[in-house]
Order: sequence, then C-alpha cells, then structure tokens
Amino acid sequence: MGLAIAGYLTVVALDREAEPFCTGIGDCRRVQESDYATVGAVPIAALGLALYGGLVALVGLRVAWWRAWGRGAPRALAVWTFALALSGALYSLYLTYLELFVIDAVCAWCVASAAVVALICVIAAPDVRAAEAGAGG
Amino acid sequence: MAGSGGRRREGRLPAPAPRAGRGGWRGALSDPLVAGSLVGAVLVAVLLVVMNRPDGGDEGAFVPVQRGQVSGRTEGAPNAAVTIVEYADFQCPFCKRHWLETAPVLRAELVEPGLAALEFRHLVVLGPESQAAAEAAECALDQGRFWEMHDLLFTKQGAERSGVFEPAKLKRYARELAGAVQGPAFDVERFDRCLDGREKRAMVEEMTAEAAQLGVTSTPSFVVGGFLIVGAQPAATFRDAVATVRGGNRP
Repeated sequence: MGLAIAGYLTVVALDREAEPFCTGIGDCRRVQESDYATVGAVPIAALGLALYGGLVALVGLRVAWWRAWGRGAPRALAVWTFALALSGALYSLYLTYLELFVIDAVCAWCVASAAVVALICVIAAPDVRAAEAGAGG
Repeated sequence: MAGSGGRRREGRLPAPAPRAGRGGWRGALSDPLVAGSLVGAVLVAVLLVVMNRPDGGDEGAFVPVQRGQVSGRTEGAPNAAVTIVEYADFQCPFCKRHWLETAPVLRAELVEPGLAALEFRHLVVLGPESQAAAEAAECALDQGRFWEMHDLLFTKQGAERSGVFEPAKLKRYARELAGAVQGPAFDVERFDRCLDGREKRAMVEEMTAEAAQLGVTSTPSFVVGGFLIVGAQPAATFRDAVATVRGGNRP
C-alpha cells in the first residue's frame, strides 16, 4: 500500500503536467508545489518510494532466509526493518507538521502514507524485543 | 504487510520465545546493534529535515514580481496604444499558468518597450472563494498594493474550493504581504475592515457581469483591441494580436 501511494505521488511529482492529481480530500497539489516538496532535487515522494522499497526488500530477505534455511534470519534484518520504519515515521511526523502549520494544506495521500509507515513501525517493533529475548535465551 | 506473518513465525521458531516484558526494550537498547540502528534512524530523519529547509531558511518568504509602471489594476504606460485586458479568477489553474509562464514574456516584450499595457479584471467563475480572493485584491488596491496581492494570491493558489481563500486565510496572507513589501507600510487592519465589510463585493460582481456582457465566460480570457483570446495561450498569440491592433487592423 505504501509503495503504491509513494509511487503514485512520485509519478505526479515528476510529471508537471499531471494536474489535478489529487481530488477530494485535502490539497495535494499545493503540498506538492510547496517549497518543502523536495530534498535537494529529489521529490519527497521519491524518498517515500525508496523507504517502502527498502522495507519490502528487508522483509523479502527475511522470508527468503526462512524458506531457504528453515530458521530465523539474522537479527540485524529485524532491527534494520524497524529502524528504517522508525526513520520514515519520524520524518512523516515532521512532514505532517509542515502540512498543518506551515503550508496550510493537507495532502490526503501523504497522511495515508504517514499512517502506513507508523503502522509498519508498530508491527515491526515487537520483533526487535522478541529477537532480544530470543538471543538472551 | 504480506511479510508480517512470516516475520512473526520466524522470530518464534527456535523455541517458545519468552514474552518480552517491560524490560524487553531496555534489554534491546543495551545491544549495540539495536542502539546503533535506532540512533542511525533518528539521525537520518534529522538530516532529511535539515536538508528540506527552503533556500534562505525563512519559510519560503513571498517576493512580489518586479514591475515598472503600475496604476491600479493596470501595468504599463496608461497611454499605451494597446491594452491587453485579462479576465481571470484567482482559483483558476490556467490563470496561474498564464501568470507564471506568459505574463513575464509579455512584460518584457510588450509592456516594458511601451507597446502595450496589461489590465487585470475579475471574472469570478469558481465560487465564493474566488469572490473573496478578488475582493481581497481590491482591498489591497485601496492601499496601492493590487499587484503584490495578485502575485501572492496566485502563489497561494491551491485546489479549487479547498479553503485556501477563506477570509481567515486571506487576512493571514495580508500580513505576509505587509512583511514583504517595500515602501509605505501595508495597513492590515484597514485591509481586514475592507474584507470583513465586503466593501468590494459590488465592484467585483460588476466586473464579472461586465465580462458576461462581453461574451467572456471562461478564464483566463483576454480582450486585445476587440480581439478575444480564450485560454492560457502562448506569448506569440498576444504578440500577433497587439501587432495587428497597432497596425490598425481590428476584427
């Protein structure tokens, strides 16, 4: 879901003719055209795409490891999954603050993405603790 | 999402894992791998925040377009042989496109050499927020700041009817304008009174009615000496129309 949202927003960010790209709730166009829509020359949406791509890759690696070896993947993969999601959630929190208090416009897709990455963070968190408990046992 | 089930299974495979209690996080954080990864995650987020600041780091301050001679809603010499009259709505995206892409060319090629003047008139087609924005521009005109407010409103344009031009927002923009303009101070309280009192309502409604009488029904539309140009046309269209009118040819 996160990949789909970030992918859509990236396409829109790179295609200046895509207008209007977000109808209904909020004002994605204004958010996308604001001074805060890029980091350097990279659209924020592309960062989101990289984030979700990284998460999918990490989870895929863990699943592949389990299927190949029949045991849990190295603990680092669980920790990095959580760390990556945490990084995305913190940055999404900052972006949501910008939408509400600086840009004065809310992008429904961006809020949905923030919710998705926060949910991933919550889902991934127990793995870090469980891995610790397992390692200690 | 699909991987979360597998993740849960793999974590529990070796043995029934002891339930991580409240001390689970404390223990996990004492692990250099976990602590290092979490610190790294926070640092990446902070780095992206720092890199995301707009140039100048001042919240993207508004800078009005530099213009030469202006008089009310007209830019250029008042006695120019040809006047390009624009009918526009501040919520209309193609009006913004004209402002961003074509108007600078017209300013350089037609207005500054004195070949033509540009006049802006309101044609409200997108509802109450467009009406409010037009009234705000007229309230700013009372203080000689029509064009600055015109530029600011197009800068702030969002999706149609999204609340961008609600009165409270317009008052906030007026304060932003007051902080951005050079020369005589912009009196925001006077602006607020004008906006709250709907002092320019009739004037804007009259301009919209006038456009309808001329057969102008969509934005942006332009009247150049009797020619009607509809839509955000390229600069060449305006150059040709002005040349035709200056040559004495009228439709």
